[in-house]
Amino acid sequence: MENNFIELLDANQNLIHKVCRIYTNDKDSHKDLFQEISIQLWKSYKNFRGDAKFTTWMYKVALNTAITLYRKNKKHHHTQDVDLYQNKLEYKEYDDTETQQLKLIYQAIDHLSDIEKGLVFLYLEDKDYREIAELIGISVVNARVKMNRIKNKLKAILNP
Amino acid sequence: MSNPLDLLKKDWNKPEANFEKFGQYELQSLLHRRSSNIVKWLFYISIAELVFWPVISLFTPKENWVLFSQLNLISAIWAINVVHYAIILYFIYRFYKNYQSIKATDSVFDFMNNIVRTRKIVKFYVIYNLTVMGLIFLFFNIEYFFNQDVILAFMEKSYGKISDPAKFMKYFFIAQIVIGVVFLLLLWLFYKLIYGILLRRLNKNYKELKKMMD
Repeated sequence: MENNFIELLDANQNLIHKVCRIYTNDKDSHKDLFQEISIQLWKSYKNFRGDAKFTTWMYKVALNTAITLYRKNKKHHHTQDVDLYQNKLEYKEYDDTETQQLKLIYQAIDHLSDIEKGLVFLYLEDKDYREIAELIGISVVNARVKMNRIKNKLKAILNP
Repeated sequence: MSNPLDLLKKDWNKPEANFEKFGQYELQSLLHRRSSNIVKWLFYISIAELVFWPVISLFTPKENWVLFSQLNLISAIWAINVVHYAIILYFIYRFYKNYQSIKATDSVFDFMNNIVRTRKIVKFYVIYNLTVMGLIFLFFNIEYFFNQDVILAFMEKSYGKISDPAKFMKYFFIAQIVIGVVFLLLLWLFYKLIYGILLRRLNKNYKELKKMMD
């Protein structure tokens, strides 16, 4: 069972990395959250019967861990780590303007609340509002309204 | 910048190679590390709380039982204990049922809601115990007040002749009240502090979601 799980985890690890990317801003926290999500997935895997899609199931566990379960380790939050981390993980191959813009967007996302980050993550994952609503546990209308507010909030942060 | 998220979205699905992927061996070792999450902490603290109240009642000094028997309180104490432990068992059962309902495979809201419900059971348990303790404290002191001669005889047996009984009883009641109030206040502060630190983030997120749903 563990081997099966590790294969599935390996095949889908990018999804967890992306959640960590949204919720953390240094390498140690990224790894801590990745570990906690993996442990929670493994704990829940025993009850995974395959009636839901594996990735949908993963989204729920990953978001619940990032938003609620994970205890941020304050000693990891060194601001000087942020640049190093971003340089290491992203966009080396793109031109400077785009890299800079993406970096600014990530910094703006960092100002959002945990719930807003969850919505942003699902939006970036191309989930429609019905799926976003189901995963977060709110109505489709609320999901759409909140998403529009988040887009405006990000614009306001980026163009003060 | 038009819509920042759409700009990011174009990039979002590209950078697979930019994350440092873990090998299968590393993933396996990650799974066997210790988890540190708030539900686990909540569980440990709740168990400590559930155990704390029955355990402190075991530490009633033997001499107090002599006094209780002189005041004819033994049957009242037994009756209180039977009801009290029945209620404690009910709380433990509700806590267990609610704790079992916490599943990370629920939606974000349901997951938080189940944690908040479990936490509420423990909160009511603490409020219940503080109230019962306050009431028992009051009950005993009323009994002491109307049976001051028994208290004096009991004290004289342990500490020798009391020269000014009226003054002694005055200080006795003042000390009782001060110790009782300080003890209850300290416990209340302790709970506030522990849960304040542990659940600050959860409460903030839960409120935000509830607000979104209104």
